[in-house]
Amino acid sequence: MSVIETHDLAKSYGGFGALHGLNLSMPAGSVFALVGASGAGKTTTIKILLNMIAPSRGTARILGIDSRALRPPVLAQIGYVSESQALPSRLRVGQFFDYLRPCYSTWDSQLEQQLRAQLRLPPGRRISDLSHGMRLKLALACAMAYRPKLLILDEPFSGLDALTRDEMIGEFLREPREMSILISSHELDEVERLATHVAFLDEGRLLFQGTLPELREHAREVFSWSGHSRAEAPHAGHAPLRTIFVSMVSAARAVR
Amino acid sequence: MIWPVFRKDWTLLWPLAVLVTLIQIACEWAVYKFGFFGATPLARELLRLLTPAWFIGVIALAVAVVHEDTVPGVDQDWLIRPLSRTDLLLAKMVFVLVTVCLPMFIMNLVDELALGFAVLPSLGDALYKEMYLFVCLLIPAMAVASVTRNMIDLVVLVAALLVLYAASLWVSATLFGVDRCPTCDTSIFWLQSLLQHLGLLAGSVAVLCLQYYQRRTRVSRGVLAAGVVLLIIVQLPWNAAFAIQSWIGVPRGSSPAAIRIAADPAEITDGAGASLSRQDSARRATKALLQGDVDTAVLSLKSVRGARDVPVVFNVPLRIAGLMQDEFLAVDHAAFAVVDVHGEALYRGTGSDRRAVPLILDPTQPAVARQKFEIPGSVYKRIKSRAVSLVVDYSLTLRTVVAQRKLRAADGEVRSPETGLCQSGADPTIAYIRCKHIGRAPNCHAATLYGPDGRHNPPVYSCGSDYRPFIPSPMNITALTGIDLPIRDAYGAAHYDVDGTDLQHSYILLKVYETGGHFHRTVVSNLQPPPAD
Repeated sequence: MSVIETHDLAKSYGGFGALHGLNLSMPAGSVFALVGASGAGKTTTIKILLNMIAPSRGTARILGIDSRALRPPVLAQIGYVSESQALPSRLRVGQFFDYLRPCYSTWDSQLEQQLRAQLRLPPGRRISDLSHGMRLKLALACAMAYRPKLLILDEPFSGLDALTRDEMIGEFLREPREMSILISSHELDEVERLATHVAFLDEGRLLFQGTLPELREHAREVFSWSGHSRAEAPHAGHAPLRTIFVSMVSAARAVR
Repeated sequence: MIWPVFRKDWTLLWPLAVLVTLIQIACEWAVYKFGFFGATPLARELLRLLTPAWFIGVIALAVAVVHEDTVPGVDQDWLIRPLSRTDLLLAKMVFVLVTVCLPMFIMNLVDELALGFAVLPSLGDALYKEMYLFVCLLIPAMAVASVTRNMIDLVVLVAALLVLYAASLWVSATLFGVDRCPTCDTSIFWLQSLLQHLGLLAGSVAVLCLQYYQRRTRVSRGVLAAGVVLLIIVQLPWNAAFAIQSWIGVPRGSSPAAIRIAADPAEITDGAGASLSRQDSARRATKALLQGDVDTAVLSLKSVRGARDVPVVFNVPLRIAGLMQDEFLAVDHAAFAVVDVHGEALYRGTGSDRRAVPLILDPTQPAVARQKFEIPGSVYKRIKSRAVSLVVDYSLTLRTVVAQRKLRAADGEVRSPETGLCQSGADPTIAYIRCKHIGRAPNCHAATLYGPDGRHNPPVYSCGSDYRPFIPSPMNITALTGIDLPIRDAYGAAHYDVDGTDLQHSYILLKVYETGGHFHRTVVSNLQPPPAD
């Protein structure tokens, strides 16, 4: 069963096409990485999925519901963390939790306390006074405290120091939980440590989607006709995600 | 889900809400201290300062609460929270009601009760006023806020809308002149104003729905811009507006059918076709602009460019019959035509005064009231040698006394449902009377000062040109009206039978007038040619 499905999804801003007929399918329980360079259409896809913007064409379904018809009961099952998320900056950390707690029927106060302690979130600090990393941690804690079925992370590692990244990945995202995770990122090393499934986007087009083993299999084929030597191709299955991604994007652009 | 949003907004905005409430308390204190005669300079000064501060405060609060969860944009936190749009909008409205309207309601009620007005009317009055304020001021402020992200955006948008409003006004005044607004400055302008308020409310509700349910900021801004233009161009025609006024008016006093008006031949009293210089026209236009009278300014500017006429003024003697004692007629509108013997209209115009003008009888001819009309000098030159007549179509309103009360001329007090609570006072040159009302205040009074021996000064009338039903002012729950009665002329030019030497034993007779029927009459007056040179 898919938690996210898009069909022929397209979005244009004026004359600029940000997405061109995207067909995605994210299986339930997976950690699905949406990988692409800046401007590839990752954030646009996520914003359409969450009904923040309307698609120009096509449909997107999230947790089985058309994204244009998202209502509070479905939103209560989705967690969202984004580097561009505008949190109510004049609230203090504790006040933000107080505000959100009654909004979610599944809010787990014990888990909230645990997350706040682990992430060392200062309750009395204003959100506007928090560093970028602390703000992302706060958003993550708020998104996980109600045990969402689907967690969407839009560039969650962007601008974070290595220590904080490790902390976020090691302590929170790799722990087995009953949720699906969609991560959009161009930080490929982190994605590789987390993802079970991956989709490559380039200039609004889908280049590949599948499991990591399927990706490596696919990579061998791409390597074999994208200028690498025959001797190199068998090793493509063990190449880092970064190398595979760069090769696939280069090949796709060459074709275009 | 209204409560979490309300609580969050309160957490963020309580200092502003408290500040606005403090301003409201200070205003109410100033109104109380101002009393009937404004004797406390501090209260007067405070009222002058706090009134704009209060306006800015309540609007800032309504805007700020909307901006706490801005609608335009795609990164707002509330978009991904399980909040229904209706709950979000309601939370904002409840916040405004609780922080602006509720404190004001309580203070107004206390003010009314302190003045001794009955509980139930005071309660209804205060409630009505707060609902009016909410619907006509706060909802529109929230609608404009909902299409902007922050205060700077808002200021820019409001400035743009003001420019559009001014441009529309200018175009309309240039194209249509005084006809651009047939009811402006007249006694029934409140109908046009009501139409504008309804339009404002409908536009605001449309914008709020578009924003909160569709998030169509561009369309909403278009609605605002279209609304501003419509405020100028949608105008009630005079006859339709007067028909509505006649329909909703409460008949009092004489039946309009019994009132007869006939006109004697009209006489020229001023002007005979002389030219007006460019400088005079320009001076007139500048003066009108400085006074904010766009219509007169445009007319004067036109006369700078084109025909430079001095108007010819006709005086029409009117004989009125069928009125009872303590009644008079007011001319709300007079459309006239100069017609020849075949009935062909040679010129059409309207009376120059747009306010309701009382037809006061001429002291030298007690059966006659006089009214003046102007026609351009160039028109007069064309018709002066012909046999023509003036056909005037009047829209009239009967004003009749509904109550009269006596009170001592010095430090007197009287209370009644018609007059409200009135107090009198005096200084060396005038005796004065001031009344505070709740609900709709009558806007036409006459007061006569009587001495202990029964002699009296001429009555002094104070009649507003406005037939509106109760439309509250945003700030004050009580309306203050009053009349000054001169008792001594500082220069000794005028003498009064009752001159203030025995004010302790004098009294004031206060008459309250209400509108009776509203009706049309057409009168015909022959134009008398000017005497031969």
